[in-house]
Amino acid sequence: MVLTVQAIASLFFIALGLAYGAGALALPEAAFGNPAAPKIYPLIITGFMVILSFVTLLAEIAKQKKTVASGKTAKAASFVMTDIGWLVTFVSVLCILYSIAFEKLGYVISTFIFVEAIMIYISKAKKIFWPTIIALGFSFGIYLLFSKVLAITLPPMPLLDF
Amino acid sequence: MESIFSNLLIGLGVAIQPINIMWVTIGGVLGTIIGMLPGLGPASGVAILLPLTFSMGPVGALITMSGVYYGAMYGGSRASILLNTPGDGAAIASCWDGYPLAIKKRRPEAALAISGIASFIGGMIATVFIIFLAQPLALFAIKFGPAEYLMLYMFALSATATMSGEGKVMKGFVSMFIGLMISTVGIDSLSGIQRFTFGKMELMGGIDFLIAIIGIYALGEVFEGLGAIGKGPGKMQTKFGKIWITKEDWKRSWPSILRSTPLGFLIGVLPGTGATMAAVMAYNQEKNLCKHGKEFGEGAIEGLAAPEAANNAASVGALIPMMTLGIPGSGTTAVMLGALLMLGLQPGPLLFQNSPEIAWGVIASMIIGNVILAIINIPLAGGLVRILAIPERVLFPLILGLSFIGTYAISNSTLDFTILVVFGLLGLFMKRAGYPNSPMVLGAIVGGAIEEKFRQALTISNGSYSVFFKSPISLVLFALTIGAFLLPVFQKMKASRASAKKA
Repeated sequence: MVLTVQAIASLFFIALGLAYGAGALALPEAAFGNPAAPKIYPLIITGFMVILSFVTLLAEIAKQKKTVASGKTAKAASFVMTDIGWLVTFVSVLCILYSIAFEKLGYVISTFIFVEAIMIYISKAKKIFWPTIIALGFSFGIYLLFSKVLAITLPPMPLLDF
Repeated sequence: MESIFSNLLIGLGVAIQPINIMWVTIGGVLGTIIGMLPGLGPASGVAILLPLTFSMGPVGALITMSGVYYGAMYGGSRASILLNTPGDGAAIASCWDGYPLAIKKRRPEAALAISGIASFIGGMIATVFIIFLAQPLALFAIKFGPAEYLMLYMFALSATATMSGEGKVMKGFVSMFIGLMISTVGIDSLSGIQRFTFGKMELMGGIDFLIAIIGIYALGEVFEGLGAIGKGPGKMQTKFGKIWITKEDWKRSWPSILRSTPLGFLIGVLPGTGATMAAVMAYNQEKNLCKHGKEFGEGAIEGLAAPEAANNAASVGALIPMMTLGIPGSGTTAVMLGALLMLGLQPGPLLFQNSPEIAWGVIASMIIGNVILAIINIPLAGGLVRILAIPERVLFPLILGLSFIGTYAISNSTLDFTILVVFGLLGLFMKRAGYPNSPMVLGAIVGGAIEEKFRQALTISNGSYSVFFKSPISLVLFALTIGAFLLPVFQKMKASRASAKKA
């Protein structure tokens, strides 16, 4: 079997189902009513999840056999980081950093930096004028809309009540 | 019948209040914009815009969200017609004749106009259908007990998984069970036992499905789209003449619109099908039925009118199971249901009995909403389509920013930002591996209710599983669920027999 994205997904979901099932079995019993009640539903889900993921794996193997029979080769998933992979990783890391800075720097500053950084990175922009204007407009505009119009409290800027 | 009209009058009284006209207009305009922009569909749009509805109250929130939903159906075709890129899934069939009509035949004005007109007629007729169907269905659903509801949920989920597309049925079911898994995280409401919380305080209340939805739909779409930045379609036309159609266009289109509307509505009512399937089926139906079927694909005006009428009718039809039974039949109605539960409103049969002003207010607002959307999308279309010129490198950071603010407004905690990113990556991974997202979203939303009904029914029957097969309603729903499971098997057998015969 060639480790295609589909095959990896099937194996991952089988493992996920088994881990979930182990967690379900380890659940404590209910103090009243049917003691096994909290486990039944998760165990039913486990059964279906593992069986169905296994079926998708079998289907993938059958598909690969057909591909080989027709003289082609199945495309294995690449574990080498592509440009898109780096892009997604960078944006994900920025999202996590944003979550850390959000309450410390306040909504406006953290959002301004977050939006500008992503905009500059993904567009490979050399000039920062327009990204800065858009990021400023967005962070201030959304802050005013949410905190002043919709009365949703957002973290203010440090030292300033804004 | 009399009560339908008196309730409709109550609803109209609510819908014509200036504040509600404002909400439906805002919802419709935002929906049109969301529908136009590739990468943002009605489900992610409703999820991101959810915080805007917090201060509206349930009527305003439901009116706005419905406006976003059917507004997106109007907007989705703009990108299909001018760029050959559907703004959302439901607009895919509009590319097939919309783009050739606008570009090859050099009639973008007629294409934009007929899509708006067909959407308007489809939406209006479907609203008339909902007026007459919603109340009887709600009255029927009052008879449902826990066992019937369980079977209904199971049918809705399996139908959604089955309709995931050719070769994706099993993956649809796996996706559904992932959603059900998500729904079990947190404190078990019946026994008080913590499940899958890993001792974390933040997980005791469970994973908020709205955050999961924003992660899967909005972040997942942005992550997917990052690879296509700069590779999008080229420049599009931004200057237009009078956006209208000729008499000949109308003569050719109206039968297609009238045939496609009921079809779209029916498909919309069925759980799991949705507006995309409605549009594609209406297109295929018209290709076979209409006089100019051979011109389809070359810019036939009927080929654009049919899917546009059908997808709008389907979006209205999809509101029926959500409002009358409390079960979502599509990704977008699942998000709407989740949002309403969060706002303290329980859609379902009792909504029509206990709060007729809400249920009928929303239905009546669709009449006003469709008129407003027709004005926005026909005479004002020339200006509105300029939004399509916003490049993805600007759009994506803003969608991310809106997703995070939406999450913060829901949970008031930045810890959920990590969950948001995890679900975004999961959405991307599933998409790459060919797993549909909608069954997972539906599973995450109704999973808790399924377990609750399952255990309630067992408690009532003293642990006897026969309770699920006692009433005729349960039996019919069980048969439909099994049918949904087996449908793809039969289809495959039929296809292989047909290909064997050909060979």
